[in-house]
Amino acid sequence: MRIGIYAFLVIAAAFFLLPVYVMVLTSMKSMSELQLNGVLALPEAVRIETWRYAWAEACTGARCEGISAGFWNSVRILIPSVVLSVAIGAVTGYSLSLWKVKGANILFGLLLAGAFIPYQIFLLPLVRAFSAVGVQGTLISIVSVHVIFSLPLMTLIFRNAFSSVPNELFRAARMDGCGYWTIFWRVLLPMSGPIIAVAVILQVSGVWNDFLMGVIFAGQTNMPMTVQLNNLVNTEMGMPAHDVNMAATLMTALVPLAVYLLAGRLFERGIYAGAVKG
Amino acid sequence: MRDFVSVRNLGVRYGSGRILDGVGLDIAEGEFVVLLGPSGCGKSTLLNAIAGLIETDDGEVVIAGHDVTFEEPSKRGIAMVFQSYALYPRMTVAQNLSFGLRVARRPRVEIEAAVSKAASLLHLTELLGRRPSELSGGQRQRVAIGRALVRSVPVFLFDEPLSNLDAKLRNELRVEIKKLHQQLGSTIIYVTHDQVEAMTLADRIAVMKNGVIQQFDTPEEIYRRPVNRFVAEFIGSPTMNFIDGVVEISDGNVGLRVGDHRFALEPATLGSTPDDGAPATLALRPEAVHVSRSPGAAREAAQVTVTEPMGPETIVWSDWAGNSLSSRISDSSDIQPGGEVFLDFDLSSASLFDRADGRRL
Repeated sequence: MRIGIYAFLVIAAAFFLLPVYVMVLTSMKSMSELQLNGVLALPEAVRIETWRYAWAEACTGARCEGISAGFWNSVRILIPSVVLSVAIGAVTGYSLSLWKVKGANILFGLLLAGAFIPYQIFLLPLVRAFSAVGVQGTLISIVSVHVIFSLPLMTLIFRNAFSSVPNELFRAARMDGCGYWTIFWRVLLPMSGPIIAVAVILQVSGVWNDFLMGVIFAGQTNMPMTVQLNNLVNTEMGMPAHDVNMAATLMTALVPLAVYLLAGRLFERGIYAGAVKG
Repeated sequence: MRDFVSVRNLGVRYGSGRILDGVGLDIAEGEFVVLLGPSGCGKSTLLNAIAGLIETDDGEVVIAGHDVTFEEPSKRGIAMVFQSYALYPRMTVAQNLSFGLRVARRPRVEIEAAVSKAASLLHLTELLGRRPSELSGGQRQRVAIGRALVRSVPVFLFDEPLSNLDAKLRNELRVEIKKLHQQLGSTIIYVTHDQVEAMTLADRIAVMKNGVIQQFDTPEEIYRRPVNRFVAEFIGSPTMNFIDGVVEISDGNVGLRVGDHRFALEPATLGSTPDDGAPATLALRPEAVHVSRSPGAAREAAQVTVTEPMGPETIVWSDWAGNSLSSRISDSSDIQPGGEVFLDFDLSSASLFDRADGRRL
């Protein structure tokens, strides 16, 4: 029984790791080596020159300064987008779950419905709206788009998490003199580590991996890494430089990967333990 | 004694239903009042309304001379202990205790003094550095009580504080709460569905049903003179013996006819003179039905069905005239199920209820 489970896990892991293996190895081989030995063979030497080249010198479209510019653009988009969307989602979720606002369920239903409308249909109206106020193609427009479109999901996540907070805890806090914000800051947030981790992971991978919004709203000066990666891969002349493409792709994928690994520390079992009976 | 907490004509509706209906309650300073009733009777709603944690539709709440009907919970001069403890899980015991004072930005010296006083009162000093998850149920509830004490308010509200504890801890903590009340002399309003807690703790008990207070009186009075059949059934274990009969008045003396037997009722136990021939129910506590082994002039023969030994006493159940009656006796050595016993009825503490609406006659 045990052996069967392990065998399955090993096969599944190999299945998902094989592309990564190929990518890492390919990025370290020279093109001639790749043609000679195939994709699965080990490289003759560990070459990180390709990585440096992809980072700082490769041509993305007309410019040849690597994808580092895209990386920093993505960071500039990522940080305000994630911070704002998680913060706003936490507050709206808190308002909808613990305070018996009149019409809260209708509001929440509308918000949910919003989450299911394909966002592509908003693209043209949004571009027109941003142009009208003169922010189209700036950091403001791309960050706003990320925050607005993630609001339904963020609110849903936080509302559901806060709904499981015992109501008596909330009453005890009111009895202790807490108001709306004091309860949020001093009672709710200290026990919200896991749910914030979930929200941050979702948002980081969502915003970082975004391509369409970046193309449309970020403008030439703020092109995110994904857009630059696409330009890099698609603008090569003649033989595709597989090694450079692989290195650039791996670097682009590193940030969401790192967030998954780091945010895992925030997951702590029994976060509510001791609050109520049991 | 002047009224310290007054609830006047309080109403709470939920949808089209009424959870509280014109409830009035006047509580004196330093009094320990228990709100008692079955689940869904509105006792917790009443407590939450006094606390300001739910909105009321009618009436007013006055605490220490101030109308607090529209005040925030923290501004009412009350503190509350919850059934589920409701401790802040990410704070230590000390932080839990001091939280209310820290929110109110009290001086550090005052906070430390209040916390250490409450901690020593409740034997929590050793536990101040622990998290709630590292405490037992009884310790958690003591922290919850401590959190209320730290706020040094004149009125404490307890919402079924012992319901989540096992029987042994419940008894221990019950005694501690009573001691605490004797030491502090604060006014306490305490909700429970446990009649033992109510009888042992309360200066006065308010028995509730369907959002209405049925009787508000001392435990002795509620036990001896329940105002209606609901209160009579709810208080006392085993419950009172109810015997249906017909009122029979001869020579101005009120009696109850049950088959061949006539119970001669004592005028002191009656609130009014009932109509001759009215259907009524006689209620007797198990200790008012005496069991004898031998027949006598006024004794009625009955068939023993079950005996329940409880240690210091035994409950004997016997069939008499189609009624199953319970008696509380101290020595049951020679009483066996199936055997015959002879019953004496002590009518000095009897209650008579109208059979139609259950009110005391």
